Formats: sequence, C-alpha cells, structure tokens
Amino acid sequence: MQERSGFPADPCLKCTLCDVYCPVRKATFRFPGPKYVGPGLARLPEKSRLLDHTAGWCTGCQVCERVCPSGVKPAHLVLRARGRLVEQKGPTPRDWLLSHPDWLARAAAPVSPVVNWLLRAPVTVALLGAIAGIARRPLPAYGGRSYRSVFHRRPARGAAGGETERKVVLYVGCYARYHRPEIAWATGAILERNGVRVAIPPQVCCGVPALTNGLVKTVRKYARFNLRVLGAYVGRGYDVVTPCPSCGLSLKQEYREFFPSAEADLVAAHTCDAGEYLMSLYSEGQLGTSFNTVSREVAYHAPCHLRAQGVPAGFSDLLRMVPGVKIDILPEHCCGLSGTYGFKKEKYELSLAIGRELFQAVRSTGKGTVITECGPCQVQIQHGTGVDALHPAIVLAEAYGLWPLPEQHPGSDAVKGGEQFAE
Amino acid sequence: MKYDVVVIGMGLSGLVAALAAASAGRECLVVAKGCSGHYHSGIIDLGTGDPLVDNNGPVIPGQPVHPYRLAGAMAVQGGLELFCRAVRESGYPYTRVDRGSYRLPTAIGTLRQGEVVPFTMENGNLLSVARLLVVGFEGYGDFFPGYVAGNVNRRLNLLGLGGIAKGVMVRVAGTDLSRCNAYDLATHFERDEFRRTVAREVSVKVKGFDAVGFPAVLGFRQAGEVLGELRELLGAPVFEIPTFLPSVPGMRLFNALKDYLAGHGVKFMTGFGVISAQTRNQRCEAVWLDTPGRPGRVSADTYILATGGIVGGGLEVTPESIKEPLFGLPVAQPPAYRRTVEQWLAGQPYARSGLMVNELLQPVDKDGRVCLENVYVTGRNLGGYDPFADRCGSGVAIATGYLAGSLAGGGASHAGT
Repeated sequence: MQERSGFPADPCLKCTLCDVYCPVRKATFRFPGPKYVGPGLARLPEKSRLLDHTAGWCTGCQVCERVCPSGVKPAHLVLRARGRLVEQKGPTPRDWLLSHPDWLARAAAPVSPVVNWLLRAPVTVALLGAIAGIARRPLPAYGGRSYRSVFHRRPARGAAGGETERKVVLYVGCYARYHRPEIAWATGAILERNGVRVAIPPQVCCGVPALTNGLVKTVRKYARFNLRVLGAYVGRGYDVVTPCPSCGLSLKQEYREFFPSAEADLVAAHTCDAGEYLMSLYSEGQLGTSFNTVSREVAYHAPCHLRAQGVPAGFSDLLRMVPGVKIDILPEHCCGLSGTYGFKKEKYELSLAIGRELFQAVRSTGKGTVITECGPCQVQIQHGTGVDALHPAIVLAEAYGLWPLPEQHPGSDAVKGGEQFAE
Repeated sequence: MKYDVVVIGMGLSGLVAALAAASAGRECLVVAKGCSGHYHSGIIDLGTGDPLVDNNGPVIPGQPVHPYRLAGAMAVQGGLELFCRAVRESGYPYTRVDRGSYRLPTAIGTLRQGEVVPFTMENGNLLSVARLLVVGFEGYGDFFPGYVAGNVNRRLNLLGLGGIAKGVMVRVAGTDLSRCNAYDLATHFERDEFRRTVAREVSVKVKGFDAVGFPAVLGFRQAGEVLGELRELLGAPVFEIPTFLPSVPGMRLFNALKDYLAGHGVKFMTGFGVISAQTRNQRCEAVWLDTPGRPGRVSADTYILATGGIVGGGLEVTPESIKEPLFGLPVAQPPAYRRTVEQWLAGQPYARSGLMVNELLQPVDKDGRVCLENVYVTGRNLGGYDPFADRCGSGVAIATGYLAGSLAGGGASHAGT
C-alpha cells in the first residue's frame, strides 16, 4: 500500500507464487523462474561473476508483478540484471540489430517489395539463421505504403459523439508504422470520426525491444527524443494515444522506472492505450455508437503488456457494442513471442512452447479471427495456429464504415481534416 | 468505470463477498494488489469452539465482539452453503467433516482439525485409518515422509492410540524433481506417464496399508482424475497432506472460486493495489488503483474492504500504533505490550486488533458512530478475534464476506443476532 523504500528485492518472502504463474517456467524447468532471476540475482553484488544468462529466458510479460502479494517487481529486476550483463559484456550483433527496429525498417521500407521477397526466400532465412542467429520462421513483412501516406487519405474529422475539444498525439509504434500502417490509419480515423484532433509528430521506437535486450543506453536515447516531443505536446493540452500495448507500457511505466524525470511523469500521466482512450470518450458520452453491422466471429486475446497497464476497459468492451460481432474472451496466456524473443534462434522452440496453451485456446473456440492489440501477438498467433489475427481498431473502423478503404489514387482525397503533420 | 460493488482484496473473504454480491445480481469488480491462494491450506477452519459463541472473550478495549457474534448464525450458515455450492459447481467439491472425529496429518506430522475440507483430503482422517502409508518423492525437498510418519505416530501415542503410519520415499525414474516446488510437482502429476510411474513404484509397497497419503500435489486442474486413477491403480484410498508454500489446494480453491465468479460476470483487476480513496459525507465515492502512468479510478455504490490484516497489508504496524492505510479508519488495538516468560504462549493480543464495525459491518469509531456508510469490512480487517489461537480465520472470512456481499447486494435480512 505505501511506497516501499530501500532495496527492491527486500519485500520478497520467497513464497514462489511468481514461479507458479510464470509462462516460461510452465514451458521449461530449465528456466529457474522469476524468483531467482529477479530478486535472487538482484541480491548479487554489482559486478558478480554469478550474474548469468538465465535472466535472458524471461519474456518480460510481467505477470509475476501482477500476482506478487508483496509488491516485488521481478520482471523489472530481470531487466536491470540484463542491463548489467550487457554493460559488462556488450550486446551480440543480433541483439543489437533486434533492438533497433526503426533502424532496420527505415532501410527496408522504401524498397519493401524487394525486402519482403527476400525475407520470404529460403536462402535468406537460412543465412539469417546461420549468420545472425535469427529463427527460421516467417518474418513480418514491411508495409508497402508509409503510414503517413495512408493517413493522408482519411475522411474528414467528424463529431460522431458530439463536439469535443480533445486533441491527441498518435504514437504509432514500430509495428503499425513499418509493418501494418492500416492500424495507425484506423486508430487515427476512429479518433477523428469522434471529433478528436489527431497529430502525428516525429517519433522514434519506444525502446521496449532494446530494453528487453539489455541495451539500456539505447533506450535512454529513444526515451530522450520521445519525451521531448511528446512532453511538448502534452504541455499544449494533448493526450498521447497509442494502438500498441508495449509502447503504451513503455511511455506509462518504463521511462519513469529507468529514467525518472518530471517530463516522464507528465507524459506517463497523459498516455492512453487507444482502446482505453475511446472507452473514456464513451463513458463521457462523447463516443459515436451508431455502428454498422459487422458480421465477424472473433476470439479476443488481451496482450500481456495491456494487462500490465491495468486498463479497466478497452477495445474488447467497444467491440461488444458492435452489432454482428460475436466475441469470445480467451483465457489469460502469454503468446510467447515477446517482441524479439521468439525471433531468436535459440528461443524459437521455447517461444512456441510458451504459446501452446494460447494456441489450443484459440483453436478450441473455432473462431476464424483473433483480435488482439499487440502486433507481435498477432504474428505469433498466426504462426502458431494459422488463424488470422487483427488489431481491434480495424474491426471498429469497419463498424464505423471507415474500413476497408475505397480504392483511390493516393492524394485525390487527401487531408480533409487538415491536421498538423509537422516534422 | 462504475460498478454496483467494488471488492478491495482477493483473499477468501473478498471472494466470498463477491460471490454473495454477484448472486444478488450486482455488477461486481474485484481489485487486488496480488494473489494469495498459495498461502491457504485449502481447509476451512470454523473454530475451536462453537462458531457462534464468542469463545475467548474480549481482550481489546473498544472491540468486544467476535465477528461471528456480529455476523450471526445465518451468515455463518448461509456463507458456508454459498461457498460449498460455488466450489462444487466449479468441479472442486468440499465436504463437511466432524471436528471431534477428524484429524488430518500435516507436512510436519502434526494432527490437524478442520470442518470443511476439499474432496482430496476426505480419506485422510487418521482416526479412521488402521495402517497409513505416507509417500514422498526423491528430490522434492519440501516433504519428508519418514518425518511425517514418525511425528504422526508420536502424536497418536500421546493420544493413547497406537502408531499406524509408515513413510516411504519413492524415486520417479526419468524426472528430476530437485528444482520442483509443489505446483511444479502437481503439473507433473497431470502427465499420464509420470502418474503411472509413481503408481508403479508405490503399488509394490502398499500391501497391508488401508490408506495412502501423498503431499498435496496430486494434479492442479485435474485433481479429481489424478486421485481417481491413483486410487484405482493402488487399490487403496488416496488423500492429500497439506504442504509448504506454494500450497496447491489453496490455489485450486481460489481458482475454483474465481472461475465461478468469472462465469457469473464478476470482473477482476489483479496487480494494482488501491492507493487512495475519495470520500465525502461519510461515503466513499471512488478509489484509485496503483496503475502505471497514473492512478486508475474505480467507483461503485458500495465498497467491501477485504484488504487483510497485518500480514496481508490491510493493517499497517508502526512503532507507535496500528493503522488502516486506505481510509484511515480507527483500529482497535492493545495498549503497549510486553511479553513475559510466564505468558509467552498465552496468545498474542495484536492478533485481536483490527477495525471496529457495527452489525452491518460498517466501520465505526470507538463511540459506535459510523465512519463510512457504503463501506463494509470483512475478514482479517476485523478486530475481536485471533484466527490462529481460535482457528477460525476461514470461517470468519466466509461469514463476514457473505454478510458484506449480501448487504452490498441489497439484502440486509441476515444482519445481527
């Protein structure tokens, strides 16, 4: 209840509940569990040689922190242990590469058809495995159009839920930005349909991939940039809205945890998951709810990093209001991909083993589509089950009649909303 | 978000309160800073004496009434009925046993009483077993069958009964159990191959015994199947002995209740403690959760305070006094106290400290004035009883949780005696 001071591992009573809930430990007893790699390793001296790689098996789902009855944060202690290890030994080139998704994507996006073709070629996959330690699995394709060029073709800002003075920064996130621009498009269009002003200022990766790979310095670089930009917008009365749960958790929690500052507090206090933001509009009577019928039978998976945000209501509640949508809520499981984890050669099999329970749950619902906010969860569920996975903003955009986009020449219907796109 | 009822805390009393409120058709949210089922043995203790009698009398000034007295017989009865129905419908049934004639061995070989036990412990009554085999597993370091059996025999001898127990350690070939906790072992038991290997090892030793006690690790979600199959393969009744943390029967119980509640539309938010409350005119208007970024606001017509006692964090002990940290409610507590050698086993007055309430479980000050009208207090938050010395923690949790949930659900008929 009260703020606990002192050493962060001290409240741990070794009750072992974190080990019980840990999805990695459920999949393999080779992983010693959060009790050991969290508070256990944290008790070692700063430069201990006992500090080992076992912390690398944590997926960072943070379920241990939600079940702990004593307020210990094993997952964050793991991130710190990993940071210490990388500081001592340096990152592997593979981990460095995976920690810079925007660096990769910026190189790939302009030539995405070529890159996507290359990524599908067996020889590339084999090479990536042999040289870079990337798992032999389908890699997410890069989106052909930039999210901006798609976003320009959105309909005029409406006032579906009545007049509002609300304005938001859309923090797009790397997955929507480089792989599925339609997620950013749909989120922005839904917000504008409800009279919210949407700005998309320059932004870089939130830093979660770097953080989970122990590259704390890289995260600091990203955080500094994002906080400066987002902080300025928040100072002008904007909220920050993101369709990506991991980005949301980073802005709400990780920046504050690792680089505490007044700016981090300010941005955290004004950041919302997109579903959370729309539900707050709804609870104030400002959300338009005259939805078209959307005939879809879906299963909803709440991503770990959305659960970690403690969002009381979000997209799954919104989709329930859409006529024609039949929604089954899947039981709490981790998909096992965990951003970059499941793309690593040595963790690929384990990543699928972690996701097995979720895959079984998806199959047993028999629904043709899985709805989940998290991009990596979508990738993993598709890979593990063959069932199509979508961001809920897409389905909601269908309900608003915004999606699918009518085929037009880019630019012909451009920028009716006339918003800031200052870069 | 606005609910009819918000239950703060997910221990036994909070879960039973949610059961009662949801049964009355109320929209209910349970918020908790973490989970705690693994601390519970899975056995429901109603108390050393008659649960409806204020057994040990008042110790703390200002809190003269045992929660059983306040809640009344109908709450005890109604709570137990609701509890038993919920766990039965969740597929984890409980049985009433007779306190006088039921003794279950524990992991240290003491003889444990209990009033309501899970079906996995039904056959463990030492007073009706002639020859008991206690089984442990090589590598699993939290359970020593020889030690259990030795102590059981010693205690039975003290009661003037003969020793009946023998401990045996079995080796499960092909599985390294050295890093296993009780839960891990329970998941092993859900594998056919592991179960059969165990049965094979035990079956050559079971001859002449009429009951087999295992540590409480016989499956997690599939305890019924595991027990049934072991009984069939061994040809003798099988039962579970409560273990050290993490307690598998406790987690099964809490999961059973949560499954039932989720099936009845109750929502849960776990992992975010309630950090502050907004009150006005003796009413709670909202509570704030410790969510990332900024506190999350939750509001309801009625709130149930089930945050626990000193161990659970619902009461905070400072060098000066004991406080209730969320609402700042007055706490009945003993004056400064020093333990002497003569009275060192005479009970612990701090265990009887807790909130003062009226017969509607509303918090009151020492003059009996209601502090918050739409807040009901349950379980370990309450003062006036010692769950350890009186062995009635679960019974009080169920009775007061049931009463609070019923009151929040709109029915006040069970109040008082």
